[in-house]
Amino acid sequence: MTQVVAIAKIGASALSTDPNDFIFHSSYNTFKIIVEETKSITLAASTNNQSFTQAHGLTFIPLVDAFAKRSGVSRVFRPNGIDVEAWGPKAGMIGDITFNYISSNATNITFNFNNVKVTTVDVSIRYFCLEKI
Amino acid sequence: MAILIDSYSETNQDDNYSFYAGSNTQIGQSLNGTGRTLDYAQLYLKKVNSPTGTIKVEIYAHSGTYGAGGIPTGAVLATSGTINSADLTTSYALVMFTFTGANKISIDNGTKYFLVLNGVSITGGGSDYVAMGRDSSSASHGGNVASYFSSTWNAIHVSTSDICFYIYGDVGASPSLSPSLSPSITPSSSISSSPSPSIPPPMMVLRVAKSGINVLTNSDPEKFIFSSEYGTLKYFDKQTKLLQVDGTIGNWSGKATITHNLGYYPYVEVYVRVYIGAPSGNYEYCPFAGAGASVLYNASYVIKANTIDLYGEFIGVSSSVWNFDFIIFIYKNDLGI
Repeated sequence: MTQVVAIAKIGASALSTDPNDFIFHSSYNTFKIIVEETKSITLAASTNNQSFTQAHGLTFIPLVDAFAKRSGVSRVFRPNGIDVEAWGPKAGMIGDITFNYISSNATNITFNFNNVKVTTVDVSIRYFCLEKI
Repeated sequence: MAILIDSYSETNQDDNYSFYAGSNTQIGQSLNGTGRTLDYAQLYLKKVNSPTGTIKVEIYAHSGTYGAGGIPTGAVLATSGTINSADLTTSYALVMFTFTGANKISIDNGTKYFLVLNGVSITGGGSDYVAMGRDSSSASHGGNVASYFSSTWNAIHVSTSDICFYIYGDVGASPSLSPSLSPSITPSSSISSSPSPSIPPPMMVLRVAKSGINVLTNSDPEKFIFSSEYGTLKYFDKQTKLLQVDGTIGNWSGKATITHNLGYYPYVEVYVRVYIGAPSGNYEYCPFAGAGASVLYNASYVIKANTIDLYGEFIGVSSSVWNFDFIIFIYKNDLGI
């Protein structure tokens, strides 16, 4: 007989077969945060396609997720998104900083940004390595 | 929860280094970092006769070849609290040295360090000393020992000796962000006395291994369904929001806001599907950009301390009402940026 460790949500049966009924179920893997770190970078002025690398120190290629925040600005933006500084229904999203992408290989994580401001911009990145790809 | 960074078991102890006034005042063991925030270290110590003065543990950067002549280098990176050598027991025990405040440095994964016992404050004659347990018969730790003498660090007993030690770090990743709301009804009235050697409770972890994996012999997180040695995303809330952009009045962009009221920037994942008319299409990971025959469209969001602003827009000629159907997953993991 297969034994499991299961923690059901309030009101759900621990004998349910629906994984959505559980807080935790030993039959299903969980994302484990292997690495959580912050990286500070400075974007060069008026430059697109700026890459910054960070050694992850792991023995495998990790699944990476990341969040970025400009220094002195109270909002966080995501890869494949822009730091929306202004918006209008006939103007759209307006922002000078774009977090283009994150990527990882066996050694490094790469963060890529655009900065169309005429000044440098300090950015903090919170990144998470969530197991092996 | 403290996580073991590196160790060499006290079960290997068969010899010692003696710390007494003016001799063997700083001796250390090189170790391998594993990406944790330094918490505490343990050494296998005892006192012989009646040494006095304090001892402490220091962390140094590593220079040279690890395990084959490495030595500490540079200034001290972190210093533990001190322990009075007179408080040691006369039998070997694991003695805990705790790092606090700015001394809780990051022990980077794969980087080599030196853990040094500093006994420069020990006083007493040669018969009164602190003994630090080591293995001198079958040393098998990957690092090596170094000692400070003649005003410089020197690797000693490189292939024949290893110090018995444990070094622990905090889980830097994702500490529990849900403090208990229940006040203690039996607050402790005890007052901590002066620092004294203490033996912490044994390291406890909870692991659920994947099928066929032995939890006792594997340490690779990939082998586990769950391990309390690693943080997890703390699922908090799921919200939905339908954002409509009315192209019939010339609008081509829309904005909506949802509230989470966490008071910090949480870990967030968003999915969105874009359609005209009846709900259709697939949810895509957001931020997202797509294209129709003559229209580009995209959706994005920014996270604020108590809200999340959602955006949708299309670029091109369209006189339709565009629907951006968002699903937002919010986790109680403070991004801390």
